[in-house]
Amino acid sequence: MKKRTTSQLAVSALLILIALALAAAGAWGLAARGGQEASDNLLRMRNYAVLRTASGAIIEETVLQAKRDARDVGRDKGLSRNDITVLMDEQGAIAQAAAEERYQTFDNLDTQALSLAVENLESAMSRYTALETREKAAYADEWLAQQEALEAAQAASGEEALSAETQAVSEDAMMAATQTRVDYSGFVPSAELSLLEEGLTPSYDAMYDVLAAALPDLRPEMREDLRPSLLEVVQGGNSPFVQEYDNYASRGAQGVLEGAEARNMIIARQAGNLIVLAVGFVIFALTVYYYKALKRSLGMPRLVISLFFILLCVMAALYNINVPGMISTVLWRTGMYGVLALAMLPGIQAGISLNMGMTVGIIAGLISTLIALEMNMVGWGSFFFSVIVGILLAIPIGLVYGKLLNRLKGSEMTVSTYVGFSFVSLFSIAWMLLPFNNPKLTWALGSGLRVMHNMGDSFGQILDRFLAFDILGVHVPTGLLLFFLLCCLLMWVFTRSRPGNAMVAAGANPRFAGAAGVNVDKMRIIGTTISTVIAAVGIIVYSQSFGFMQLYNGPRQMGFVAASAILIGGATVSRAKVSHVIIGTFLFQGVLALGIQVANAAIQEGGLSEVMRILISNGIILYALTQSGGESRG
Amino acid sequence: MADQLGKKRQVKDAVRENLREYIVTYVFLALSVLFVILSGRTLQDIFSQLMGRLTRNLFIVLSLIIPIIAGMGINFAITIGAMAAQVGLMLAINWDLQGFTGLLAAAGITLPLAAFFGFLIGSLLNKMKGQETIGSLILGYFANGAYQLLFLFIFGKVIPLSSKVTIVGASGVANTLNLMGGGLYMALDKIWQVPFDVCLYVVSGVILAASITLFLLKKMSRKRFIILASVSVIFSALVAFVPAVGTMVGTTTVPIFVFLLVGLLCLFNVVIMRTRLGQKFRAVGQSRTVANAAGINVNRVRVIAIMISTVLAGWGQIIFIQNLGTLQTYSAHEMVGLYAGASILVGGASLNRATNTQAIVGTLLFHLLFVVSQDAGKTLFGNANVGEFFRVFVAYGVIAVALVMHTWRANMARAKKSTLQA
Repeated sequence: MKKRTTSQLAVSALLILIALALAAAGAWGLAARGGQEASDNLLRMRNYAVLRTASGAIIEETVLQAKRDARDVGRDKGLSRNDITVLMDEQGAIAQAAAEERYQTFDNLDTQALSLAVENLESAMSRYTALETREKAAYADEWLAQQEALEAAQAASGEEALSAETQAVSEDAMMAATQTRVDYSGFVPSAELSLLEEGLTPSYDAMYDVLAAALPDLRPEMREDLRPSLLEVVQGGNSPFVQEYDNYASRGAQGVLEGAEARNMIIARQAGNLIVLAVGFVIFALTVYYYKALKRSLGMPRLVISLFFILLCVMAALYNINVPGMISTVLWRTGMYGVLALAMLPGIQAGISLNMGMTVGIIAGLISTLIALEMNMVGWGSFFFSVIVGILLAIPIGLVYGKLLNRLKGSEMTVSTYVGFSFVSLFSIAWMLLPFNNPKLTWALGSGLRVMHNMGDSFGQILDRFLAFDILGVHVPTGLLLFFLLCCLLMWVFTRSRPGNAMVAAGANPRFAGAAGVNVDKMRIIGTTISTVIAAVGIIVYSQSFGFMQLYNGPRQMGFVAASAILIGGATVSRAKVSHVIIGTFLFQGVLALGIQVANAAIQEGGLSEVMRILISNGIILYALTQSGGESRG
Repeated sequence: MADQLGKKRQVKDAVRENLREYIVTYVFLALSVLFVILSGRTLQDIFSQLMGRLTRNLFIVLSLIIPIIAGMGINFAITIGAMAAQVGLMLAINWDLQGFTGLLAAAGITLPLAAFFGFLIGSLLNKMKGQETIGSLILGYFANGAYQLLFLFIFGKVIPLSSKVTIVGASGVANTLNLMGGGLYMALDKIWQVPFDVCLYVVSGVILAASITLFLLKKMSRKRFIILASVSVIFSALVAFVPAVGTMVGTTTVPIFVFLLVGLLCLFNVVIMRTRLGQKFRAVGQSRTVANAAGINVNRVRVIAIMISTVLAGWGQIIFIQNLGTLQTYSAHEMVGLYAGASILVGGASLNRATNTQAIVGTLLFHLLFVVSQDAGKTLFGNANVGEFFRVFVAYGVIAVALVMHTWRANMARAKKSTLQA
């Protein structure tokens, strides 16, 4: 058998060639940015952008006037309201086309005078903006410090922010909320800054006079109206090439460039993206070249998802998504879901395949958290109380549940899914009826527990904040990750111990283990119980990290999320390792977190990331089912 | 004396067997009666609502039977058939097709779509034999993702649609599609509506006449004849002569055409079992190994069973939506599999055995509970939401119990067999 086919070689060679071409173009573009030609072109674009902005105002004016005239004509003729609108749009469009045509070129323009005036204005602006930035930064620091002090005072007086309580929270919304915006309304410029601002006026007037000479249609009051937009065009300062180019281009300034010039400028603008694309193509080529080896070592689904992950990274780079913020989110989500995914591990190892009924453990964790909230416990005490009570509740539930599963060998996954679903809906009734009395927990009107519970004043984010630090803009929730890894370590140590070994053996080959004297049924019960207990702890960790606890239908799909994570990590329904949990959770949550941001950047509509979650999560479970060798389980 | 004792024991055994088979049904019946009393609603009100729900749901529930007989458990992937039907309905509204023609067009679009999806579902389920129930459930979830993708990002953007099914400024197909405008609403129901009592007399008369003829021709057992004849006479007499029952059914009308379709489907389910294909379904359902040895292409037969079921479920969804009058584009299909599966199990079907009667009885009982559970919850706990959660719990719980009992029995039978062999 040949190791690689010719077509494989050809495709990877082609991809490498494309990558090389892209990289070369990118490198050339980067180099060209500093060149004389590029800066000349930028200057031309700037002048043209100034002209376009000024003439744009005239065109707008003309169109408005044409529409007004059309309306009057229509009224005189006694047309209906609809017809008038149609007529206005028609006349407006005609006037626009004519005006655009008229201001395509500027005949009586003193190019040199304009360049000089713009140059002057820019240097004035530069001085002004440099100082303004400095002063604003100082103000922002002060403002943030004040805000923190205010929050501390509020927390001390026991008042909680009402807005957080009443607003519905989704995970996507949470991420945006982590960045606070500085309110500049209280900013007062210093005397020096005011002086510089006043100094702008003569330079601006000089430039405007040149414009007015070239565009006789400019009306006098436009001098003031156009000021902000014209200042924005000139901007000043030494902003980077890309920003400057985009600023001018957004005002239609590419029109001044022709043929090769325009192409070169675009290559220079996109140089960074070209290089990112080149890297993507190299990875793609390598994947094609090493396809078989990769498929063997990773398995098809993990290969596809890893590639998808890389694709998302490339797209994130293309869309200029904030990389440190992204990594922070992925770390946070990995820790948040990690323990839940770990709950799948002992189930698979003990031979009950995917424990979709881990929701029974989740319910135990929710009850213990509710008790802690009911008693108004706070801080670490409440966290450990919830964990311990959750474990104590989960053990008997797990034992009974394990006994049930022992009588259902071969269909555990099917049955456990529906047992989990029924348990969740049974407890939806229980949440309505259980005697919790703390007004923080119950609906203001009527009876029953609320759907979302703010963990802020008990143990919300207590793990996340523990030893948390920022490095290179990445926020590392140390405590959360440590807790997750600690759980993984404990599980790993357990599988190395004597009973753990017996459990894994019973799961891997029940007949052989039974013959060797292992009590297979007992081992399955142990595995199920551990799985249930970890699920209870997992939902507590999840709630504290998310900041909210969700009742009712909240936990229904958790089993699916956990199952997808461990399967993406490389587990099958009958074989799994701790490493599968860690890799899988990271990959799955990474794809989701990145996917949300890339999807939001690519198309301004929600929903795509949710669709992606559904497809990936259920697709991987389906794949695992097809690989489980149905016949043998008949 | 001994003979009599033996007979007594036989009856006792039969009763015990019957109880074991239909324990879920009896518990459900008791629960439903209790809830009807607790709800405090008038019987007339309950009855007319129940008739509406039967009209909507019977067809879909009946579409589950063939895969069960073919040994594939409950085909929760009928949600995909429902999705195909919703594509058809959406297009019918988009093209402004009116009334019966519109529904016919929707059904016509559903047929190839659902058949193709059924082929895919069947092929995939063949790769996970023994796990079809969970496999089809997750397949339904997966398809829901693809459906959202199609309706949110492909329809209206890649495939242009008219303003009838889209909203300006929002992406994709509108959240709710109204069937009232195009006259699709109740287009099947309205074809021929007859008061319930008249309908009952006619049907009873037909059944009575048919059973007498068949009995006289010696094509029907005496027992069956007595049951059929007495049931039809007693029901007619109840409606005709007991005023309470008379007012209960009073204003309710029956959409004859829909029930004709349901009847046709029942007939189809019976007739197909007498064909060679039906025999193959049964053989594959009983034992794949034996069927394979007998030269049956097991995989092919299973794919056909799923294809038929998916198409029928799609048509069932059209009947459902035309009765409801609005199509919730993104959620109308979600509960189809759950409620239909729970219904047929409530009727006493199991994962490898199901009949028309079980499907009809099950739908009746399940939806009776559905109608009254909110009010019963209000009476019991002072909270209507409890009843709402209770019916979801019942749906999941019934399926969980049926799955547990089925697996339990199968495992016990296997254990018995292996001890016998040893």
